[in-house]
Amino acid sequence: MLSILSACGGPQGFITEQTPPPIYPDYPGVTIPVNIAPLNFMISDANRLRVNLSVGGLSMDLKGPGRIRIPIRKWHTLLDRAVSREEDITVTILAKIQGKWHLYLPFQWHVTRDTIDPFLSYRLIEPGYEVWKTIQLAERHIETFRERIIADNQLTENSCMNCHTYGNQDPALSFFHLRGPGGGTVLNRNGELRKIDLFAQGMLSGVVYGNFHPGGRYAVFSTNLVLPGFHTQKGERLEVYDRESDLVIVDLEQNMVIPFPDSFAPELRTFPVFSATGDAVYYCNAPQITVPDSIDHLRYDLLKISFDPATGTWGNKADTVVRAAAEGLSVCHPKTSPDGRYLLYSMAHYGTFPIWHQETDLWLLDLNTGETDKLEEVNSRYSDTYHSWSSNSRWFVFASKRDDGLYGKPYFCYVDLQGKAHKPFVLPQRDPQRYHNTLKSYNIPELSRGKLPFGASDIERLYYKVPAEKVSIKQSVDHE
Amino acid sequence: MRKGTVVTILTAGIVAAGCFLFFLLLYPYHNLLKEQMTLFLHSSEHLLTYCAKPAWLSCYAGDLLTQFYIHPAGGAIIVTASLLAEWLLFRCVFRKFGIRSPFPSLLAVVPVFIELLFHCGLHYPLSSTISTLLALVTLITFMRLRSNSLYYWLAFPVAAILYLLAGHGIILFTVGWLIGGILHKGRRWYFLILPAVCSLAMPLLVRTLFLLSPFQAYRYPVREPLTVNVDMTWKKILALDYESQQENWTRVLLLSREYGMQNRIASYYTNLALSQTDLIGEWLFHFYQPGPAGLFLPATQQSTPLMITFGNEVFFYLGDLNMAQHAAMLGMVFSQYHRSSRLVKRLAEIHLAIGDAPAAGKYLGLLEKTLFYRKWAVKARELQTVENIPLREKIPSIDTVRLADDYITCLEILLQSNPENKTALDYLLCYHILNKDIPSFRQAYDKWAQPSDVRIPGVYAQALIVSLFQEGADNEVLIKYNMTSSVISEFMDYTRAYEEANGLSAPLKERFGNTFWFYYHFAMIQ
Repeated sequence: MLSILSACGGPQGFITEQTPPPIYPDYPGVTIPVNIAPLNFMISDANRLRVNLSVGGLSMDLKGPGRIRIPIRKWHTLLDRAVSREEDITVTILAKIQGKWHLYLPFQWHVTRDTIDPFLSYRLIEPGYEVWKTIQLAERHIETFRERIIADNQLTENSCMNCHTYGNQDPALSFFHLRGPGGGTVLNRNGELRKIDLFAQGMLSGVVYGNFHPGGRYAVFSTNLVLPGFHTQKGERLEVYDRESDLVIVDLEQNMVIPFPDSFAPELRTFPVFSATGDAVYYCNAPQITVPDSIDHLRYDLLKISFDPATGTWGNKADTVVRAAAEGLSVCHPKTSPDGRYLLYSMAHYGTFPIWHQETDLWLLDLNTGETDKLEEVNSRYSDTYHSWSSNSRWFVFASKRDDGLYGKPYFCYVDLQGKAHKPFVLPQRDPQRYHNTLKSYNIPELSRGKLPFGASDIERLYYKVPAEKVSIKQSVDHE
Repeated sequence: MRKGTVVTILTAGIVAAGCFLFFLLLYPYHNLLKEQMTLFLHSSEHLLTYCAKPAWLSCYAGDLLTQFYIHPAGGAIIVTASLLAEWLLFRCVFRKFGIRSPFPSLLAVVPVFIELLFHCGLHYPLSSTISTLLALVTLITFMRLRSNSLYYWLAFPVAAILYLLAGHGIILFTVGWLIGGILHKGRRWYFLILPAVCSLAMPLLVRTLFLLSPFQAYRYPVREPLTVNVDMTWKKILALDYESQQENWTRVLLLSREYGMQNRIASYYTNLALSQTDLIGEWLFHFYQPGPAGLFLPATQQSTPLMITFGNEVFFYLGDLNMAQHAAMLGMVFSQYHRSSRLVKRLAEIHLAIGDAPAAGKYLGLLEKTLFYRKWAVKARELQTVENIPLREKIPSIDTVRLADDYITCLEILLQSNPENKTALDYLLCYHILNKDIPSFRQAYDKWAQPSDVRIPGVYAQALIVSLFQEGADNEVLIKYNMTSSVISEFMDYTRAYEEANGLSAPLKERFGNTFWFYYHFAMIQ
């Protein structure tokens, strides 16, 4: 701390504040992985900053005009030292605000040697309303600030693109839906791209929400007849709901659609994911009611049904895992951790579009103990949802609208060995002003162990040059 | 100074003055709109975003200068100055080609005149003109090279840099360089081919880096289709739009009267002005009405981006801020640059009225980084903590989910939440009137219109008497509805005249052309 006071003649007569500094993003007290990019930050009202970062005898002084950019090599040295000494990084900030220097209470960054998957994909789109003109799917290297566009709808006739989904956080296995005349579901397997039209006679619609089987051969999807509606009351905006929805499993080797057993009552089924072992599917289920009139009574429970990957057959019985409706809540977007221990999901008051529900929170279910954690340290007053796990199950990423209620940003959260979730932090940017200046949401962030083996021009070629493969529905399905 | 030069300078000066006056007085609204549909932030982070596409220097300079279009004189000066610079540079190039005076001056008028017509379009950006200027400056610099080797070998690297800085300017430069090389006696044409081909192929080769389609790569920074005409229809619509934004409602009505347009957007602004001046119940049929479509502009797949942009205005004044926000956000999504100072300001106003300080702060923060909206944003920040914002009273307190084009539900919810919302009442009554739906009008009137001693507005009285006549109402009921004898006798006159006219509109038009009855019988709903 002394060094920043004495550097360059040092500011004289500063005011000592008894509060942590009002930095943006909200980084004080967060737990960060050893492989994260520098946590650059700013203080909006400050026109000069002096910062000292210190850990284990290593100290770094930085200066900036209201914002701080930490040199990336020095940063990683600092993180390595923090991990090796098992000490926190102490951050001391001196800010010049309206001509006066203010010294704030120091705060800590706790560095853990549990790394986070180094790549993150997300969709950049204006928030909500289910319309688009420009959409980009981007991949960010989170150990640095490199961002790469992996698909851009300017190159594909402005057609819609849905979010990118990995299988097992593996860059060699992923898919996303590309709409429009040359569209289809783009399947990446070891960089070899296929385009599949995942719609066949007898299905409600093309496939929407999906997830890979751990083995990679199958993927489970929902098919949804979706309607948008608009709230009248302030604070509530858009409601997107299913008139009908169901599940299918697709055998990606045989191009075969395995429909949900018709022995089940016609209900709304959506957001399916495989269990970590691949022998079951978790999904959200609600009875069919009149929408939009009774939309505020539309509540989903979390159910589980078995699946036999050897024969490609659904089970014939579904168990309720989370009875949310009975508590006046609705479950969305369940995601199993790769180690099979946790199930992370969103809870909203009702409906199936949690990103526009301010009350939406993340809940964590420990599948070993059956205990539920409401993640109070993690959630905010605005929507926290669209989450996915890191391959080591120690981190998850989610989209949060906590800054302004409108624009989603990717936040990372550490879950320690005891299952305690720590205060999350937003994806660092080279210039922290980026979040203030952008009018795009970071939609459905997903972590990956490596760099994707394709780019936007590959998707352009696929869109125009490659015909979509067709699928057929598996007939006479014998369920367990 | 030679006489010819003096004549040229004088002519150029007069034409430039004419151009300035044209954009200042006759055609200012296109430039005003262009300013509103950009959002230039004074921020280093924003500057770097320009590097993601070619023509970053043109785009940056163009957007920087477009801010000054906020005043009609700013736009007129900048467009005129850039066209004048373009004329001088083209003239210089033609001279370098060896064309003798006075033809360079005359020939240079042709591209500049086309450029002027481009500027009369809705979406033509100043950055495109700057690209042309940069290309011409580079070309002239090249033509001054004495060394043939440098002329050959520097061409492609310079063209490549020019593409990064000026986008489509590379085409003009390469073509000019090629012609200059061919016309120059000391240069061999076959040495020109390879650099020219490489330069012209450059946009195609690098387009994937910039995520552009082949067509986009060659025309960047132009993003929307070009128009080459002076569009007076749009000029009039934009005039109504601009005056509405300034809340010069009387001026909107005067302009609407003067223009006499049969256009949905013109009706939309006219009706908004009528409601804000409390005249809609009297003068609705003094203006062209295409049906209920003249009250709202939808955000559908059939809507143009500008219709979507304008669509938030009525919802804002009604107090349906969710739909205003929907239209404003969609307007931004579908605009050329996906960011707009006008719509960001509107979104800030909406969230201030809602009382959503964090969301308002997001938009105010953006405006604080602009040159001309900063003051407004700083002042508006004070409203983040103010409780009694007048618009807030109108915001619905009842929640329901409706479709985007369910205007009746929207208006009824507004009235249920605040029966004093006069704008919503007028819009609901006029919606039914314009839809020729007498039973719904009557139902809405009975439910929401307050009984009063004051005279019923003319158009409402005309619709009401039709309803009362249909149900065979007696005198007591007519008195209860405050129906005046003049309305009753006029209705009887109209009925007689209509029967005598045998279904023809012409005999009725002069006396009854501005009445609901005439609209009911003869107007086609669009």
